Amino acid sequence: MELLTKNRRFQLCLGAVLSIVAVGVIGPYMTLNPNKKTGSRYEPPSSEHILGTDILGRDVLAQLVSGIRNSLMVGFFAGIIGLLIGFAVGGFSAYIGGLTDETVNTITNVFLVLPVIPILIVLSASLKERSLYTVAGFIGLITWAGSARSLRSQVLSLKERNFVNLARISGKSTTSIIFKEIFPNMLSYVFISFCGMFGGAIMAEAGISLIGVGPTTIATLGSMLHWSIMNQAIYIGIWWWFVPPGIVLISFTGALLAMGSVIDDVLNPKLRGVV
Amino acid sequence: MKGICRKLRNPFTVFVCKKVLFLFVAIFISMTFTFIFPRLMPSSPVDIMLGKIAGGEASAIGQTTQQPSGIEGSRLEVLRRIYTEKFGINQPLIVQYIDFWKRFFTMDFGLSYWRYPTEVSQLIMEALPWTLALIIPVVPVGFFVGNWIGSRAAYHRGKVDKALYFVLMFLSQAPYYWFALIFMLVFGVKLKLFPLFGAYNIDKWIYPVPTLECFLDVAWHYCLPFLSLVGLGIGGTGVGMRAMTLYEMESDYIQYSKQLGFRKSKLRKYSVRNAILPNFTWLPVVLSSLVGQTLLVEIIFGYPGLGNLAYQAVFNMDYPLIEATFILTVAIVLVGNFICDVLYGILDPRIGSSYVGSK
Repeated sequence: MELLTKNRRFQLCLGAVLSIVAVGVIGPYMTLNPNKKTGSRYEPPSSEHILGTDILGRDVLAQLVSGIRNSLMVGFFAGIIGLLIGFAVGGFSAYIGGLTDETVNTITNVFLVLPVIPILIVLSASLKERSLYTVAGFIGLITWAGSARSLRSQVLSLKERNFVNLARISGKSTTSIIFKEIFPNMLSYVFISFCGMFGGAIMAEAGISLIGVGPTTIATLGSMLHWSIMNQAIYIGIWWWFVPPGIVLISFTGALLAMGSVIDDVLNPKLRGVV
Repeated sequence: MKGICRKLRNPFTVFVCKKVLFLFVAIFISMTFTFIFPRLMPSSPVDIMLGKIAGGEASAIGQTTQQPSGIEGSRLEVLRRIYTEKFGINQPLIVQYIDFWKRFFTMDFGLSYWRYPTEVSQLIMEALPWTLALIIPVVPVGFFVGNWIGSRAAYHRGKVDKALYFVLMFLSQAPYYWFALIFMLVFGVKLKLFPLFGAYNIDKWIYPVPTLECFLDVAWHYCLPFLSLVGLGIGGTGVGMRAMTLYEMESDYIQYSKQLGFRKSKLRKYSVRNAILPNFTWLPVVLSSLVGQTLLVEIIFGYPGLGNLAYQAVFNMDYPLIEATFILTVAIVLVGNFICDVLYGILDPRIGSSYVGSK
């Protein structure tokens, strides 16, 4: 842990992630109402509207900030759901082993290769109204396979260790071994796979919102892109409407991923200097 | 009989058989997905179709026109009954499910609801070449360029490596759809170098003809979608390749060969052969995400491929078309996956035998 907090790159990434989260949490209280007309249409960036206004005269900065919050919420819930499924599926089956493990592993592999975006489009288009949570649920339901696979391999290696054997000999139940012996020892991996799913879910949400099947009528980073495409912002050259959401997307997911790899790097001395 | 038995015991055959089995399980799961979800949609496709017949606009989900503007209500009811029966939507789900598999095995998806009475297979045949033209070149180009840059980065440690690593990370993480928008803004709107929409000039040709002029036009329209897709492939493989090459360059056999005084190019050749293997296992995952990306990029650029077709199908609740496009995208992914797996088994003989050994 000390190694981690002293690592320069970790500090940098954590700083970036936390500051974006802070903008998402505090920001909506400090900006204008994102749904209200506050200026004339397509005002370029100025001191009054830092990121200009959109076609309806709404403040783009306010949209961006509430978009960050909503996207983070989708990513967070999708990450949690995916992690729960992934751990339940990958972790338990790996510990139980045998035919269960074999079957579950096959299903995991199937989900791993299925194309996420087309399934998500079909899924969300089947509902007329979609809230943040339904979209998050869909994303979690589909993207759990990656975390299931990495957690499974961790459990597989941990379950052969002596302390697990000891617990088994002393008569502890399977659930208590998994939660009290194995789980605490792989927290860092759980965290890394959560980071990956968090970032992936935000990207997936932006992808489906882009074509208009994300959360309905709510500003997210993806739906900002969607609105700007629908209103031909690119043809007119209204760059301040669709460039900022992309920059936020890149920096947030990039920082999350880098943070995961730094944690992996520090806690896995074998890999040090490679990644 | 004895020959067959011996053949079955051959590790490579067993490996391929297992992979084929996996292919079928994957197809079964994804097909069942396709069957269930469109049927959970709130309104029936017949409503949307009748809305169209009645002259209303019915593009968005659930927005069927209630007031028909030419046909009376009673005749509309009759039409509704006829079509519901014709499409078999009134049957119990299990019968529909069996029908669905029948359609899958005969590969006859019937007529599209959205562009009734065009055959689904015809719509698909028009769209498929465009999508394949995007996907097929992107995979090898991304793979080879990514591997080349990645290994270069690993050989020259220091500043070059750091810069390249940053670029590769950026490429592998960046949202490609956003790239597509930026490309459109910079190259299409500001510089006016490339066209923004479609796969060829629709004002000039109704469908592409095999002339040089048309071919050049198609290639010209092809550039931006291709560019927005290829970056991700390069980034993804490049990052992996860099890490693996660094690892291999540190390993004992390379160090030993270095002591023996092998030329640098020889050392690099050895390390690349080993470092490239893990990237092969990632190819299926790259491919599967690439298919999704291609759909989005097609929609953004208005490229007339499967992505656009699926988009229209979903919004018009065209069951057969949804089924067909989805089956095709999944089939592209799974077949590509299968090819990658078998190729990997050939490239690395250890894999084939270890699969059998684990059993």
